[in-house]
Amino acid sequence: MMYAFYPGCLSQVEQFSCLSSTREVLTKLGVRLQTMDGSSCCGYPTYRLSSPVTWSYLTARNLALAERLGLDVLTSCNDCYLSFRKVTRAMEDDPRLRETVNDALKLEGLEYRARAETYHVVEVLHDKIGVKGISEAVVKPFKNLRLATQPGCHLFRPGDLPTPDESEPHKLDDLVRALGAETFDYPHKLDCCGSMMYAPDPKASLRVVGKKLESVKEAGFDGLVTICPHCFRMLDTMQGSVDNALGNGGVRVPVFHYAQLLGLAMGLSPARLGLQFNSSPVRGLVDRM
Amino acid sequence: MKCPYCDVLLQSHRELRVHVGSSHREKVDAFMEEYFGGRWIEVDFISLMLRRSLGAVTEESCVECGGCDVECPVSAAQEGFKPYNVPVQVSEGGIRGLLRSGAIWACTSCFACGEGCRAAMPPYEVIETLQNLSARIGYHFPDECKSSDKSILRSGFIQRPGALKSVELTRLTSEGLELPQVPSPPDLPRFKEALRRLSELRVPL
Repeated sequence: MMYAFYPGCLSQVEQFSCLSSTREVLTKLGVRLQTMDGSSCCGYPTYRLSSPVTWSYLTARNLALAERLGLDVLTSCNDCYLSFRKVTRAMEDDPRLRETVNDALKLEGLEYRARAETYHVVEVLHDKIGVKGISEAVVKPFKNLRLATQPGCHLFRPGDLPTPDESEPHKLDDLVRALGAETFDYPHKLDCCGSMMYAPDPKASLRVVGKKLESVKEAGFDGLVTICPHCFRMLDTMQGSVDNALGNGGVRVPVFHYAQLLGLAMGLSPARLGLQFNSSPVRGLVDRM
Repeated sequence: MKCPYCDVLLQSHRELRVHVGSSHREKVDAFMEEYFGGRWIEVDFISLMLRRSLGAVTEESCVECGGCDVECPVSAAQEGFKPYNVPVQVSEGGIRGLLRSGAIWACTSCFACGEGCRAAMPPYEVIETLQNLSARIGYHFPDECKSSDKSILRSGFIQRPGALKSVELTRLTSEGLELPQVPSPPDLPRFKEALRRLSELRVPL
């Protein structure tokens, strides 16, 4: 199993633990990851707003690079996945757009031919390796651990595009159970993390995070797990700012990227999984694991 | 040319409009009155383009069932924000008020409103199109989005790798985790030329 690996901007320039843990576990599970030399941002969301044709170019350019490698794309970012899917659809529907983008790609000797498929990490773990395969890789199963899941919007929305999970998402839950942990639904499970509105309105965005964390706490979970770097940033890195912005008495919830938990269950070192970078209080749980 | 409110130098009328729209929003009315004879060129254009992109937004576009409101995480977090207000205001000819209120920029693009929508035009479609038109016509585009665009043009990425502060306040860059070097377009001048060429295209692509 080999893919052109496209982690997206956020985990490459800031959320290093998402990237490090994902690389570690996939490699150990026998997935070969080809670095995409020459790749760039997919253009979502900002160029989608300022110049949709430029956004299409940026996304198609990355797909063209994967095509040149003769590989399908594997991304660990929910937003990049959405971008790849949306642009693929737009290029199918509009030959004029495809021609304009390909004209621009010629400048770098590239061509978009719609030959590379796009996969999300959750698809590789759940559908390709399989829940059974994941269970078999676990050497230290978690016991008496209740974890809430945060699949992230673009793992199952919008309904009119192919998404990595179904409209009632369950794959991350299946993968959490494969590690021996318990998970169940809670009221704000399918809510957005507020990432996209952080720039225009940080306070409202932190209120969204606060509501989710409170919901997780009230439901009696020990921690929260996500598989999207944007959700991870909002729920883990920004967790301290929620108290400051809202003065809600300091709801604290340990937050993990799924690859970090999988790595721990596979017996990998916490440092290689970037756990020293988590801002939420994970230490107690890691020691318990 | 100079901004009449803060003396910043701008290269074109378009840049001036974007600057005033972003930095002096309270002055937009007066600015448009003085420089464009009170004609809301942008708003008229946005109305026209919205109609072309989505079709007519009419009373039937939203049945005001409130299904979107139940699903929307922003409604719960931001007082006064109701996703259905966007198609309703557009159908009532209230685009100017919508653009000025900043309501369209509160959306998180989670698409949850589409799941609760009983009409044919979920609020996120109208919001996305309005955001897009507002940015392209130079009416308003959040500063953070502008700087991301600039950074992508400069280096290919939204920002260059920084150092994330760990709980022990040590600083460790991505090299500390032996991660591969962040890639970048090998021929930046050509990459930039493609981006510029496409960004300047005045076609409805």
